Amino acid sequence: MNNNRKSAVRWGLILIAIAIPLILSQLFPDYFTLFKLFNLSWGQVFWVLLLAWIAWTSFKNRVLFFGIFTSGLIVKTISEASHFFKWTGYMYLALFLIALGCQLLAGGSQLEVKMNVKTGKKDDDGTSLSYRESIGENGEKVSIESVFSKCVRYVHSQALRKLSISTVMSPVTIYLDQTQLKDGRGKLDLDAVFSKVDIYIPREWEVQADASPVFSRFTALNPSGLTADSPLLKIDADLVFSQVTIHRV
Amino acid sequence: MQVEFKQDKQLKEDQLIIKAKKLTPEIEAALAFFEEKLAQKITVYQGSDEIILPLTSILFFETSDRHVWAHDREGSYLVKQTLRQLEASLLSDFDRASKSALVNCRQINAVKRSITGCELGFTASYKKVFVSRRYYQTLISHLHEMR
Repeated sequence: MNNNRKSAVRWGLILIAIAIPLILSQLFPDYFTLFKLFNLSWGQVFWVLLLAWIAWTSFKNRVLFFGIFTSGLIVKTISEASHFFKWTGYMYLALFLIALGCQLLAGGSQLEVKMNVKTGKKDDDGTSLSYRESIGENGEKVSIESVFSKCVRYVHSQALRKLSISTVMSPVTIYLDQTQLKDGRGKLDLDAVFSKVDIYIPREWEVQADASPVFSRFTALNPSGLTADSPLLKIDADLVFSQVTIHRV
Repeated sequence: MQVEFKQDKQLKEDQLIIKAKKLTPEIEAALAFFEEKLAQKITVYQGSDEIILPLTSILFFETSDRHVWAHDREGSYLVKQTLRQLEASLLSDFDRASKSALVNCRQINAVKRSITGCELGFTASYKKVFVSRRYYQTLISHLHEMR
């Protein structure tokens, strides 16, 4: 099935789904009022539609955790509006555990690697549960996001200005040993939660780090022999239960 | 037959010498094998420079930013072929590790499995490559066959 056909099928189902409450509200006016479907206000309907879109996108990319969690939030919104039952904190905890458990059971998924310009490509690195990478024009900006995913990436940019790494429960290894910084200056923004990050940089680079670690460890030592002309990498790191090591090669 | 390695840091170019009393079919086969292996080279690019590298020195090929890069112990180089073309034309020593990586099995010295995935380490190199679940079994079988 080609992309156009898939899009047509998707929209066909959406339009039919929108028509069903219209029919029900006409056939059973005492039980279904169009603007009070399941006793939801317009704001709640909008919220549910937004959650549904997030869930759809998550299931499409096989990110089961977010798909199940947002689906649970949809059920919660509808059940509370319809007074079926009231959600407590334990329900949220149970939903979180179910979503996480299902994700771990499901294991690998297709991941979508989106380039910054025009087209995307799919990569099947297997155990990646959610991974996103974007590279700006001329490779000046590189952004890598990883959730429940193992990631090894080699950055080949010859004019890197900014590298953003965002990881959640992911071991990430980034190689900058063949990278050149634009005008000898570059910035690394690093957000890591429950992650292990290893970054390999050339021996002659100088590192200036501003790290905010919470139960975390950040290791980046500058060797002797660096000069004022040495390429400078400024690191801004927010770490939670994570370990970051800068290796020089 | 004894197999021995002698390091000589003063050599300008690596040499492989087989010493024997006479040329036997086994030694001829070994010579032919090494000649074939060492003869295969690949043209790579680093900036505007065109470089010819022996395939045996390549650790792996990987795709990044719509390009294919060849990695050896010293650095990485641009290759003007797709991974599929390389896979079809290269020695059987090269095998897929993932959709974006082709590794030289002769250079692999470590396979590290963990809950998050599998990583390959290479001889005398800090570089690593991630192995996807789709290609893991095939790659491991290939490594076992080679040993």
